[in-house]
Amino acid sequence: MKKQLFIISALLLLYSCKTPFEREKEFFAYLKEVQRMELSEKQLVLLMQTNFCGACTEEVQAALASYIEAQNLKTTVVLSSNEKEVKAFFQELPSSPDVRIDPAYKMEQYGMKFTSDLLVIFEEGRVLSWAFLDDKGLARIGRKQ
Amino acid sequence: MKRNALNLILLASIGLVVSCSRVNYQEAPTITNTKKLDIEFEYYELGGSEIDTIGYTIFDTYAFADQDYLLVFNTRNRQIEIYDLSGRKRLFAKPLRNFFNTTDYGEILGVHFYSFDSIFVSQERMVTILDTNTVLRQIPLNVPEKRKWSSGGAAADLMYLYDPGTLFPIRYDPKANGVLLHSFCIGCGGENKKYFHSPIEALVPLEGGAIEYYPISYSKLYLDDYYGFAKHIYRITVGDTSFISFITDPNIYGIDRWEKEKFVIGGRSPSQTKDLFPLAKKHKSDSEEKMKHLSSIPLYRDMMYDPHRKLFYRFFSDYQPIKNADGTYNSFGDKALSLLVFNESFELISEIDLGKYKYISNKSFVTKDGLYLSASHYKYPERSNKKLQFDVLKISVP
Repeated sequence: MKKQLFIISALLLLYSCKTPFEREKEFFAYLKEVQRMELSEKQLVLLMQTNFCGACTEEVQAALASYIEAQNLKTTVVLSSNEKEVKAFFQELPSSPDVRIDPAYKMEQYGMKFTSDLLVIFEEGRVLSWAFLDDKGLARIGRKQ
Repeated sequence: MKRNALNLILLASIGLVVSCSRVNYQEAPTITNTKKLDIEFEYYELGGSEIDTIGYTIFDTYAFADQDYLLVFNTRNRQIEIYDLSGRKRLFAKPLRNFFNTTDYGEILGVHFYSFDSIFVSQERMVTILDTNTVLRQIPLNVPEKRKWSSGGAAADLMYLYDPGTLFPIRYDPKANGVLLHSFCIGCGGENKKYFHSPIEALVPLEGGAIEYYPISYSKLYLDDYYGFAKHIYRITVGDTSFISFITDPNIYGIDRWEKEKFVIGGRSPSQTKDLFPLAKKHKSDSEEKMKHLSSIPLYRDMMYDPHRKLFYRFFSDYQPIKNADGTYNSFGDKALSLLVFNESFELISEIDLGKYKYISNKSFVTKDGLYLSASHYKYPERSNKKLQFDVLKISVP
């Protein structure tokens, strides 16, 4: 669990330093136009590809939960489909993240459908750090330890 | 001097063209037939509360005494369920664990409804034959000492048998008294040429003995270029012949398993608007790029044989751009579907447009009534979780 948390932190650090997020414009358009979110405040958004279920394992969910709680940021979790168990899991966290469901496959339309879950921290409409929570990324960081 | 320079440029240009073209692969011509088909769609639904579409991915059909039956391994409740398609009723339901301890051999991968006395259930390490009461026989799979496909092969030649469900389903070959399964070289690495050279179909004899690997491997397209996730193989069996189709390749390949004779047939869709394009190998570890590529390229999908009308069906999805002109994006689920209809000589008679967002090819099947097109696309607004829904495509060739 601690290892998973470390990996998520390391992934975010890595991508925040080096790799621009290719679909940043589409990401903010989705949050603004579909989720009607206010983007100025520093916050964390987790896009969960529940139909692929990259982060459906309990271990990864628990690590994500610890990460979210440790950030002390306003948090929104968007699920690509209404997976009741995943929804309940995040709603029950102490920080009570705002858990939303993607309406009518808008994530796909806005180019936000990925094979992995996406975690983004941003402020004033600018991405500060981001990471795909995929096996490849996790394995790569794992090897560097 | 000037002339030499021109010659050099010419040679370099030829070299470039040759290096960019496919050196191993050749597309077979597609023969067309001008016959007109009469087609008709008829809605069909099955079930109610006890059936759940989501649980319907592992299935097979069986015809006996003019009746058609559907056997489902319901992944929701892990039951074997048998439905009478004509009577629209469930005849049988029994948890698979009541037959044997399923947890010992890996996930349930596929079923084959050969008869009421021979129901095959495949797992990674076992094929189990059942009737509706009990286990009749179990055949272990992937036993280490029996896995080499070439004598004196290295460890890298170790083969693995696998049932990828409806794409390349387990089938019983009564003549050879064995089960036919997909095989691949597990030690070769999924991106290496050796992997694409290794046999893709094998026979496991029911009475024991050596596994027979058939001399058929991947399409030569895969020796020329890299296609990322697009490696799916579809196989149907008709008598002694296995017909094999690759998701990237218009060709259809056949092998007479008895005579070991191979043949290639053209099967290109007339509606294919763009040629297949490969993916740069630098993306081999990038699942996002591989998914984008798979969502975009033209795809040759499931094949089916209709013994009642002597027709072959092949599903096709054309190229789509990742980004549309209006700035919106497409994903895999946005691909349109069409149906290619071939006669028994593999002459293309027709292509039927099935549109978008309604049908799923790998949940469709054939009976005497026609082609049951499963109306269960995840974007289909009338998709039901409580019943199985189909449009039965009734084709007649005048």
